[in-house]
Amino acid sequence: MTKSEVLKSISKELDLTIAETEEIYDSFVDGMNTLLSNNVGFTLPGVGSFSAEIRESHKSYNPHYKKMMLIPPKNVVHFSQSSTLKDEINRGNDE
Amino acid sequence: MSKKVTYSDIVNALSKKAGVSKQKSEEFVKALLNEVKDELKDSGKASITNFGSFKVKEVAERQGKNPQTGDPITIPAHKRVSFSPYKSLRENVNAKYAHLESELIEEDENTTDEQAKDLKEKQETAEIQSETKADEKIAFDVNPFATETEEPDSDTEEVGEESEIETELEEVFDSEEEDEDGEPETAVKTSELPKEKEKNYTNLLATLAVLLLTIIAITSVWFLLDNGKQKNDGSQNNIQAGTIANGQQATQSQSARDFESIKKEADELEERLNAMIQEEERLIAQENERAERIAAARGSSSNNGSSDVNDSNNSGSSDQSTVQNYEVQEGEWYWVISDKLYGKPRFWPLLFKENHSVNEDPDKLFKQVSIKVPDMEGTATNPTKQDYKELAAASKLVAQAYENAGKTEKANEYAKFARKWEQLGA
Repeated sequence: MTKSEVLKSISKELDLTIAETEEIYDSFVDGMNTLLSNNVGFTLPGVGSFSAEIRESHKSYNPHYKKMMLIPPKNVVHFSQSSTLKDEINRGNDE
Repeated sequence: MSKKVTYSDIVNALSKKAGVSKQKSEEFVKALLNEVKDELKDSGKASITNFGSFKVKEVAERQGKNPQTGDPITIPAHKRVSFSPYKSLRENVNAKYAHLESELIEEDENTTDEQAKDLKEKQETAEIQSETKADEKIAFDVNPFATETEEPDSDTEEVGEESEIETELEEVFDSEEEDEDGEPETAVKTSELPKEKEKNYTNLLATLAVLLLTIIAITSVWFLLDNGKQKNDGSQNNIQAGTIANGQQATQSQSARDFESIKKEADELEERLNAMIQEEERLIAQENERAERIAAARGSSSNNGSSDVNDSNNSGSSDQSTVQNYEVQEGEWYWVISDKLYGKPRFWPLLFKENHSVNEDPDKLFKQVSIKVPDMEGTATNPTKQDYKELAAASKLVAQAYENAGKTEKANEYAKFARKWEQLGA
């Protein structure tokens, strides 16, 4: 599903034009980006929580060079699914 | 890390940013999340543009443990949603550490290196310790002499009331004895120094220091013994030799004999030291000489080259009869020499022409140590017509030589050069 498809369906739902919906969409995504970039976590109800975490520097085997490499620390986005989403998905599986 | 923003905060911020009501923005978020959820359920995949993608992953059944009771539990196979951020988000989040790069580490070698280093250090310390022990041993070896030399001292005390000279001797003796006592201590101390600065001192230095100290200690003991002997003689004269004195003499001669052997050893050591020092000096002198010779050779060669160019600069009309010699260094080849002397490697046929005939292969040269260097009329950057003519002739010769050696490709190449230079010289 592409962005335009999502925008279409949402615009129908909210009685907004596609352009307006796109504006909100972009600002929403932009807001999430800035939040995570500033190490601020948040929760989207029904989906899960996002947070930025530091992955510490560690040693790892590089199969290309066939040697151990020192991987520097990295700030990564961490997502943990919400229990409702988990249940919904697994219920779908059972059915 | 622990900073978190609530859902309502996000909705409020969104409404402000997009300029819509809170209700609308909340509706929007809900709608969007519903879209994502529905899609996830339907196709197992969903994405929010510019943010990231969600994916449903299958998790296989596995054995787990109840964290409270420790009972084993089987966790049934299930699905979970994983999120992978898009590149723009990843980079934004990681902006702080973006400059860092993973680097190769040779862990095994490093550890072995460290181990080797440790071993080496341990060995060094062990060596130095053993040296210091040996030094102490020597000091102890010396000490018995000191005690032995005390005996004649006590003897003279018994007898010494008779003459003033003897007391004087005694005083001298005492002072020297103090020196003697002091020296082993310093020996130990100085031997402990390298222990403290083990990294700074090499083993050689340490051994040299030990040798020097032993020599000093032994020589001082020798002086003491000499004094003691003289004194002994004096006392013998005074008492006309008693049984005690005889015993003294016996011990004295014994110690003297021991001392002689030690003195010999010391002399040998000294000689060896001197020999070593001389050899070292000789080596250093040789090295210096060699370095000077090389420097001189280089200077002369570079001077030759520069003077060639200068000469040709100054006396533009001078004939090519001015021929200089150049000493060929190892690994040099016409191309290189030409570059050195003329400033252009391509002029090497001139050198070849001057030194060789047509029947030689230009690639199979160099048994000569010194070659003739023809002078150029003009400069390398601005040759005269005469130079071009010479070059053309030389190139022809080289081409011919290559032809004779069966290297037609090179011959053609140099024939081409010759033609080109001929045109320039015309």
